[in-house]
Amino acid sequence: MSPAFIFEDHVLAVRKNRWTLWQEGLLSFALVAGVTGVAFALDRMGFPSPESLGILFVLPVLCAAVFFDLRLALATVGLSVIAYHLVLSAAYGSLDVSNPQVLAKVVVLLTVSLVVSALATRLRRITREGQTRENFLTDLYQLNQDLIGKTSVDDVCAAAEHRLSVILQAPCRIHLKPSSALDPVFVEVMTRRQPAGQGQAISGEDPRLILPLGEADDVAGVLVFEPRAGLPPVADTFPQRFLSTLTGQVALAISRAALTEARTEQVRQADRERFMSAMLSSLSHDFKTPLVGIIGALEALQGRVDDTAHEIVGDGLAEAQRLNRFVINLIEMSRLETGIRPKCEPVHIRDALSGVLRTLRPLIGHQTFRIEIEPGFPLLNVNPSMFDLVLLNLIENALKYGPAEGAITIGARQTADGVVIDIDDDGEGIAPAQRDLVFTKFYRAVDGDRKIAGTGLGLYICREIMDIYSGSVEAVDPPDGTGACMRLSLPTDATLLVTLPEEEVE
Amino acid sequence: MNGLQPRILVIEDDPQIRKFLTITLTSHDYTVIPAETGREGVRLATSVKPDAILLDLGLPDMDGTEVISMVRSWSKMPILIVSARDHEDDKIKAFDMGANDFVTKPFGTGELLARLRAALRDSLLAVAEDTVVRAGDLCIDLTAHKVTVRDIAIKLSPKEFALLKVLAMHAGKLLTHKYLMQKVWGDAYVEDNQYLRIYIAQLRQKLELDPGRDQFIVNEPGIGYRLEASGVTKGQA
Repeated sequence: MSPAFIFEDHVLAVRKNRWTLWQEGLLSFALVAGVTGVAFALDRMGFPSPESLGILFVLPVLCAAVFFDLRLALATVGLSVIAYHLVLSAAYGSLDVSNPQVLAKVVVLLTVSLVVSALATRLRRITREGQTRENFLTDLYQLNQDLIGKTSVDDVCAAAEHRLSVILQAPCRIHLKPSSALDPVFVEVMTRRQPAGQGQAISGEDPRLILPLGEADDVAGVLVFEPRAGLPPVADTFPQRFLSTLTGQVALAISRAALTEARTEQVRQADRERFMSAMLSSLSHDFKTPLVGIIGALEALQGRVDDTAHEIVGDGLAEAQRLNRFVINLIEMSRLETGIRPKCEPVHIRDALSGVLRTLRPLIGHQTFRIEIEPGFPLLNVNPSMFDLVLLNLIENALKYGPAEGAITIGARQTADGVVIDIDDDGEGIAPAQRDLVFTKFYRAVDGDRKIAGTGLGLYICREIMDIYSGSVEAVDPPDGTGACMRLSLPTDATLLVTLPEEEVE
Repeated sequence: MNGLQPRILVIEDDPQIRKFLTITLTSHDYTVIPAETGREGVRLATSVKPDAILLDLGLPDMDGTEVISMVRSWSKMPILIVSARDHEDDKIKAFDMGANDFVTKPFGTGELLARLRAALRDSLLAVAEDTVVRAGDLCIDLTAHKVTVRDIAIKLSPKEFALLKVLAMHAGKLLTHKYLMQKVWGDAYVEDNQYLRIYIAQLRQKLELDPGRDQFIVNEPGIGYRLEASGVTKGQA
């Protein structure tokens, strides 16, 4: 506890429940008068040693020194000396400081009053110090008691507001980020981490006292004390250290509650993910199982029937495959929405295209493919299944909307900030006005009376997947002027440049 | 096979799929031993000693990968995994445990039979080094180090040939990235399979005539590569 705090406390708080200086002065005067009266009476009654009655005057001096303060003690000394000489017969008319008897009395009384007053002041100070410390600890203890066990930030704030209002006898309110950013004064308090209002360095004219909550880089918000009705402002009544200790406690409790809340949320999120993943897995199983039966049965049938039936069975098979792709999209979309991110690995664009085109082979009629991969094209660091799904959806569209004997060009090249992959068909293309809309969920382009088939999920999923890798998919102006051109872009971060080791010569 | 039909243990909990598998396999001259649960499957694998196991990863009583590790503790019989596309991690785990190959749900009969044939062939025939492997238009002379596609000679670098050779020796069978790296680049490169992707792309560039219809090299995302099995013949040069 710093001396400044004690002194301030002494002057401001100790005075509070005491008499004023005037009342004490009057009391001292009354004491001197009373002692004088007693001494006068004893003297008149023929006290054998009138000189020794002077000792009685030590009493008011002691009282003033012990209970009041040094100024009054000194005044009492003066008063006592005068009274002694005016009243007692043995000393009548001998009020002369040069008289050694008088001088001795004055010196004795002065010494007594100085020593006693100094002792009393010290004693008072020690008592006061102990009491202040106790009050301070009680307040802090009560605040901690209130804050302990509160697990939510809201509960902590409510409890702190209540307790601080009681301790400081001023209405108290806590404003946390981000709502605390609405008041410019709060913002300044938070950035400079200094109090404001009630004569402080920041906005001294503000009647409120605004204190920052938290330290260093971790300011959670502000604590605001409204002006007190009929009492001096909080800032003038309580020492800065006391206030900053209280706000420190509150800030600590808030950050602890925030951590607890974050942890709870994390656990809840993990539970949710586990649940979603279990649900997806059973959903996928439920869809896939009948499809396995249908596709397997149709394929088995295909080898045993005549040409007409073969074609019919083939159509059924193609439809079942289409349903399968739709189910994959649906499951993949649900998976994306759970926030589960499957892991990445190096993917060569040529590998990915090979697999996707193999899957789509039943759909490929007389279309031709041109694959142009720039030499030195890097490996992509993506999840292979997800990236395959993007290519699958885009190439399926190109096959669906392009002419039966069209050419589909797939070009992969490096750019200044990553790579782009263009999938360019010879179809009717996408009107510039619709180029962004086609990526919205369940969007289905309607062009006159011609409805474009599909679920409106494929392109949406493409965009969602590319988002994971900070990449993009967009419909761009076709470089050859016809058809649609879908462009996939991936940033350099999603690619891996590989330098091959020197190969031994044959 | 001792003149008998190969016996396939089918561990699959769904009755419909089990039925379809039984019909398909029986009609292609396999004997099917069905099992509904993992426990039953492990028991049958021990007592019947089938030529191959067809295993669904999603079993009700135990994890499919557990079945693999139990069987692998005493036998090298081929194990084919049947799994859905979205169970990639399970699939990779199954391969680490020692699965030989897989088919993805929903699969066609042709695909299933090709995988099964490759798995059985691989386990029954030790591939001699002095053979010629033909896969469709592709012809690989393993001794003369000569590769032709539709009788046109293709020039390969030593590493490219080494890679193709490993694939050809196990034609039709899925080879994991790890296995390929180990065989071609040696143990030091096992964990880093990026070279493999580049070399596979180079091989495709040289071998595949129509980039829209790759015939020879099949990519199994996240797991490995296989050389297409259709029309594979192996013989003396």
